[in-house]
Amino acid sequence: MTALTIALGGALGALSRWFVGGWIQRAAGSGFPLGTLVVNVTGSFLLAFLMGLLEGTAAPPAWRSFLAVGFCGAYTTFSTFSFESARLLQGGEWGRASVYLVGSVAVSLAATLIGFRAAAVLLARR
Amino acid sequence: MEHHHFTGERTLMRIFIGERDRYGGHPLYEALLRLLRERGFAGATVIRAIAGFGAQAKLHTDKILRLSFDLPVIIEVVDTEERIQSILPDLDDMVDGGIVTLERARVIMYRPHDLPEDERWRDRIRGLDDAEGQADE
Repeated sequence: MTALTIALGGALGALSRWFVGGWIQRAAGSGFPLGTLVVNVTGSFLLAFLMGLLEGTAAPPAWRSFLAVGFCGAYTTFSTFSFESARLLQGGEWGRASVYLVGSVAVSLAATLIGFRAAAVLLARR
Repeated sequence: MEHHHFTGERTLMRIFIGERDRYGGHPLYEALLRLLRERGFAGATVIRAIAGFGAQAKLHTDKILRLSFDLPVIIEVVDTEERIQSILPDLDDMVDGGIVTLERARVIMYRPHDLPEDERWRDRIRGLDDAEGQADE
């Protein structure tokens, strides 16, 4: 059952990444990996927000494996972040590489904290 | 050898397509390469680019994973104008989207690997100052 919910969430998360990342990257139209950055930041917010909600309510654990492990796990991508950082560094694009490396970590972390906060605020208002 | 005296004024054809283009169940560049070989062309080279865009202004680049699935591929062919012209109807049929260019090229060397010494002299690069005086026939 857990494997099934993870697989289902993973399939949806991976496809969401493909479409969201592709749409943003094409809209940006540049050599900066904005699609991956946005996917990782929004995924970080989403995971923190969902975990905040799921932990604060009596939601069944299957939701956790479906949304957190499956969906958010497949929606965000650390390997693509590393891959694109390495490509920027190999190309000597120090400026872009620094913005991407520091920006991804810092903004994702901020998004996580905002996600926790958002969940807490939502739970407090119930 | 069919292309023995290949040096001189020739035509360079460049076919710009996408890595993901297919023809008859195979990658298009492979299908084109096979066709060129079968028709006895002097040679062809397939080059994969690292970035580009085409008629739809869609960016392709190997730097961004999401945009790296259809990188530009260029097939370069040098042959006689007649032979190049003879293949154009096939190209028109096989290439779905892309760009084909022709330009004049001066071939100054064309020889296979491992030629015996005596034959190698005959196929020397044109225009080289040749102390032994054997280069131009």
